[in-house]
Parts: sequence; structure tokens; C-alpha cells
Amino acid sequence: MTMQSRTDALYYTAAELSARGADNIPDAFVSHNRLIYSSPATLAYNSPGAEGFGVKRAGLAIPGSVMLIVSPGCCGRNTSALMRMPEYDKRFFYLEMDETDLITGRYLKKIPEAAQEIMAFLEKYGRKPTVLMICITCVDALLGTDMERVARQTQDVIDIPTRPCYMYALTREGRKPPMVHVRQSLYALLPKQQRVVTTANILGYFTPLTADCELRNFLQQLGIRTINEISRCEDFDAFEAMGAANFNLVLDAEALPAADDLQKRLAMPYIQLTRMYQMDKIKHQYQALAQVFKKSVNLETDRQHARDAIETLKNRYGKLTFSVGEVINANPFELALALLREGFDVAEIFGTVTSDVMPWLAKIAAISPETKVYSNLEPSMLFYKSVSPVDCALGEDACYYHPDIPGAAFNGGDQPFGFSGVVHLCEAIDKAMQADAGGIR
Amino acid sequence: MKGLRKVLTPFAPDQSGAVSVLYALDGMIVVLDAGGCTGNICGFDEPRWQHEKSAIFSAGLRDMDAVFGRDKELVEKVKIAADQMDAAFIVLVGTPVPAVIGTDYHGLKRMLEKEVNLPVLAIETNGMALYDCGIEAAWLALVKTFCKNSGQPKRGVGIIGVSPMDFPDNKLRNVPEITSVNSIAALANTERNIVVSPAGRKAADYLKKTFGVPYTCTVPDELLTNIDLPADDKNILIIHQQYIANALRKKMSKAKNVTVASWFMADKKQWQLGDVKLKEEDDFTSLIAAHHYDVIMTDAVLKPLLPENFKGAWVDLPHFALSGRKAV
Repeated sequence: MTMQSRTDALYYTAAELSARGADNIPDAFVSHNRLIYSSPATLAYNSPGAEGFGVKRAGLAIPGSVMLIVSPGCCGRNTSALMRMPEYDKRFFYLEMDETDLITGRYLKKIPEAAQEIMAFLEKYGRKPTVLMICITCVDALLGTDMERVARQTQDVIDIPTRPCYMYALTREGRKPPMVHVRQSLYALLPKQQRVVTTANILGYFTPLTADCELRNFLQQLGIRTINEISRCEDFDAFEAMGAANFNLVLDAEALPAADDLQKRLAMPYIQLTRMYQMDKIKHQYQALAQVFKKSVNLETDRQHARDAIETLKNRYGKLTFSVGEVINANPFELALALLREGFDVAEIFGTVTSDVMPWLAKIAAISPETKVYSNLEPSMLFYKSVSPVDCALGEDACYYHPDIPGAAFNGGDQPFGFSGVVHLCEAIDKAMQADAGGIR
Repeated sequence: MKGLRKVLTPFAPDQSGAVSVLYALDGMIVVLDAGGCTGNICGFDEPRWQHEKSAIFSAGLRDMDAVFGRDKELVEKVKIAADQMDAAFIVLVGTPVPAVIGTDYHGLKRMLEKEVNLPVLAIETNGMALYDCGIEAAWLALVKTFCKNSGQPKRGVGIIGVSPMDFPDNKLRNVPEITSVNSIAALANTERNIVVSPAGRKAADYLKKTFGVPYTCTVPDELLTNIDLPADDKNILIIHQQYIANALRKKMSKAKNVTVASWFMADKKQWQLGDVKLKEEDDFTSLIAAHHYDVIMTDAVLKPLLPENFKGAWVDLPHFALSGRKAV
């Protein structure tokens, strides 16, 4: 890049942000007030499906389902990367729109026929899909397309459940962002059935909790024998069996509207848990849930294991200084606070400042007022240069900004949670520190 | 069915093609989208993005911006960003959102020029056309904006129509790289320009008509490295960008027959009898089924579309605009 900067990357200290409070968040940190800088650190924001789970992958969470993406060619382009993954072989199809389609709306009439052609194509390979998801994009958001109606028409023709899903980037900050809606669309397929009191669903993630997560043990101590996760459903029957659960545990707030729907439609209550890395908060959250069931649960072994992992890290590396990003299996502010409370330093946080994170920011400001907070999206991040010494970068974005120091992306597939999440985090940091500069990505 | 893809993913769209031309320049690129298009352009279609910074931004449009046409707010956002850097120009790149709401690019350009005191270009891509349409529009906008008659003696050779969508390595010996407004302006003052893709023709025509710079449509050998040419006496099909395919055909003068086919823009002057334009997946399968090609040279992403009875050989000729895969 030959262009010169006129400014350094903009940041506020934790103390400044905390003093400003939730009602006075700087304009520069409110995404719709600025252009959004496109760097590898913002890819997960701009295009969640380019890595991780966006609407496209999430829409195919149901075993045996296929997706028809009805859109201009540009919207389906990055799916090429997913097509290379064996689990998505012959599961994505495209109906490309042209300008005449936009003007006449004729593409809507073609959808049932396209669905029939897809069914015939799959039949040649001995496959019959369980569900057809019809994915539409910003264009249809603006046209106000009634895709529910088109999905019903299509279902009548192909005789398999057909659901719309909305990849409406335009509504990202609206009442129902795409990743909220896609969860509602998926769980709307759960049928009403006889309740099994010893069964619970975990909602929120599209990949499973890590195999060693104590949440399962915890639920078993509460008398839950079957714990369903959509990512562990091997077939459509297993998915449908989620409709028999006694309650839902919601681990990601984006699944709350779906849980609400299930409560209304199937009388299935839900409880929200939050992923945290502060040891005392994890313990209190489990205790509170146990109280709901009027039971006492012992997770002391798991807690001690996590405590040992933290102490090992401290003994091995001393007072590490971290750069904490938001492309990570954590809330960066909560994680930064957890690290500070354990005696580490946090030089900088890359995160989205909203009123929700203010309580954490206030506590960060009390311990480490000079911690710098950057917004990945802010245009001046084009000129970001590290101004604070950092030992280890946490999160894919922080690793991008600090390519020459040890780093742990810690945003991989299986989801860390609870005390075992703390252990996994410590192990990831340890691995990164043992590796050469450039670290574990 | 027309427009239905069962095997291939969509090819690189016009907006990605436009950005591929603009990416290495000293301007500020503003993609008029909600974020997803920018994510696709950069995260998938721009091979330099992971290791080379560029001032590329999403307008971050939201539904209410689109509904109410909040151009003033957009201008304000661009101005704030422009104040943070020394950009030589600002370029607006279109996507399906402005196409649907009927954005007045001309008006937006004028509003911006008043505010930022920089040249503003508008590339009216819509995400529905293919990458070469974007390359064509970007090149034309650049030469129309920045090429002026310098009055100096003409010298050297320039290159037009180049993009990493077609060429893994754009560098030619003795030909200046296109990295800035100045290198674009210099194209009006060369002895001759080389046009390496059909998408470069309109810009070259403009320079010829306006500044008298002649051009040659060809792909120099330097840009065609690491390609295994098949043995002589074969019936060969090459599917790629037309000028690249033609250059390879020229190298295989002893072949029994060489047919060129392309999914993309075709220059009629370079078209030979029997050359084929492809559009739908079935076009490819039918073409192979109807002819007895000994060798097919194209991107391996097309292999699953081969008819079962195809017995010929396959030479992998990666095309980034098809597969997002760089040639090695």
C-alpha cells in the first residue's frame, strides 16, 4: 500500500470509555457511523460465512438438508470454499438472478421447478434430502419477498420440509439479525411430541461443546440423561427428537428468539447460560442453575483442574501481557477482565463497545485503566501499529495484528465452556508460548 | 434450467473484478454494500488481501439507509475516513443493494467531490454480471479520469486489462506496474499499450481515440508460465479468458485442432470459427459430449461436469475467477 496515514489507529482507554458510560459511546465505535474497514480482522464481521458459521453453514445444520441459494451470483461466490469440505458435497445449489429477474420477479416462479431439478439430480446419487432450505439475500430484503409463501409452494411440489433462511446483511443490527433468524428457521422444524423429562437441548452453537466439558456431567447430576446438540445429531430422526426435550439451555444469546419460539409453540422452557472465563462467575452460574432444580451439584474437581491450569501458566511464564481480540470463543471484555483478575496484564482489546459490555469495562478500568480499546471496524485501523509491548495475542484478529509474537486464535470448532473452557484456553496459551513467533493459529 | 447451478459455484462477480483492478492503487475503495459483498470480495476473490493492505471499506449500509436513501450520511462517513488518509482518489463500487434501490451514482459522486476535494469515480457494478465486466468498467473509469495529454514525447510500453483474476503474476519486464494514479496517467503517454484481456479493450480504445496511443491485444509469454502444453497432433479444447486461451492456441500451431471456449467476455475480432461461448453448466457437458477432444485445458473445478464417457486427457489451467484457486 502506497498511501500515507494522517492519523494513528484510533483507540480509547478503558478508563475513558468507562467514564463516558453506556449513553456516550464514541461515534467512532458505533459501526453504522463509520465506513467499515475490511481486513482479515473484520472478515468474521463482514462475512461470517467466509470462515466459521454464517447463515449458509448454519442453515445446513440439520442432517441431510440441502440449500438452494437464490441470489445474484456475488452472494454465493464464497461458498466455493465450503464446497471443498466433504460434509457439504452436493448440498449447495444456486439459482442465479439477473437484472430481468429483479425487475419482473420471475425467479420466484422458477424456485419450485429448480427444487424439482435438484431432487432429480440428487436421486441419481441415491440421495433424498431431509429438508430444503431456501436462502435469500439483501436483494429480497429490499424487494420484500414473501419467501414463506414460496417455501410452502415448493414444499407442496417436492414433498419434503422446505424453509426459508435469510442472509440479510442489511438487517445485521436490526431486531432479527440473520444469525438469529436462521436458528428460528431451523428449530421451527421440531415437531410437537411427548415430553421426556430427562432430556435437555443445548442451543446456540453449531459445533459441539468440547468432549470434556463439565456441563454434561453437571446436567447428569441434575437427572438429565439425554443431552441433545444439533451438531451431534447423526440423522434427521435425531434432530426431530430434540422436540421431546424437557427444557433448553441457551449458550448463545443469538438463540434466545428460537428458544422463545419453542417455549410458545412446544411449551418448552429455557434457561440462558453465559460463556465466561472468570472462575468465580463460572461457579456462581452453575450454583444458580442447580438451585433452580433444587439440587446440590459438586464440580469441585473441574474447578480445581481449571485453577491448576491457570497456576501452571503463571508459574511457567510469569505475568504475561495479552492482546485480546473479538474473533475468539469468548467475549473479549469478559476474557480481558478474567485475565486481569488472575494477575495478568491486558495491553489492548479489539472489540465492539456496546452498553452490554460496560459493566465489564468498568471493572477493567478499575484494575487496568490504561488498557487500550480499539474497534476492528474503524477506518483508521488501516494504520494500526502496535504501541504496547505484548507477549501473547488471543483471538484471530489479535493474531493478525501481531504476526510476530506468540498467538492463539482460540476460535476453532469445538466450543469451550465453563471450567473446561478455562483449561482449554490455558492450554492454547501454553502451546502458543512454546511455539516460535507466529504461534499457534 | 437456465441459471440453476447444481455443481459449480458462481464465478467471480463484476464487483470483485472492479476491486481487483483498484486494489493496488493509491485510492480509497468504498463498496456500497451492507458488508457481505465486501467480505466476499476480500475474503475470497482478492488473493492479495491476506498479505497486502489496501484502503478498502464497506459502506456498512443498513436496511433503513437503503429504504430512506441516506446519501448525506454516506457522504459524511466517506469524508471522515478520507480525512484520516492521503488517498489520491475515492472510488465507489456498486453491489446489488444500490442496484435495487436505484442509487444515483452521478449525484453521489458530485456530492462527495464537493466534500472531499478529491477525484471520485463510480463503478456501477451490480453483483449480477461477471468479473470481466467489473474489470472493464474500472479500467475505463481510471483512464477517463486520470489520463491527460502531457505534451511530452511518447515513450515505453503500457499494460491494460491486467488483473489477478486472470494472471497469478502481473509483472512484465520493462513494463511499469500499475500501482498508482500516476502509472494510470502514464498510459496516455506511451508509444504502445498491450491489452491482455478483452476487458481492457474499451480503455485501450479510449486511449487510442483520445491520445493516439496504439495497442496490441496479446498475452506476452512472460505471463504464461508453468503451463504444460500437450503434445502435437491432438484435438484440444482450451477454456479460459479469451486472450490467454488464444495465446496458448498460438503456441500450439502443430496441434490437429485447437478450439477456444470461454464463460466470459469475448472479443469478436479475436474469435475464430468454431470457438464457443459458454453460459450454463450444461453447455460445458454438451460441448464435451458432442466433440471428441483429446485434451481439455481448463480449471479443474469443471471436472465434475465431464460426461462419463470422456476418455481424453485433462490439463489443469487454473483460473482464479472460476475457482478462486491461484495458478502455481
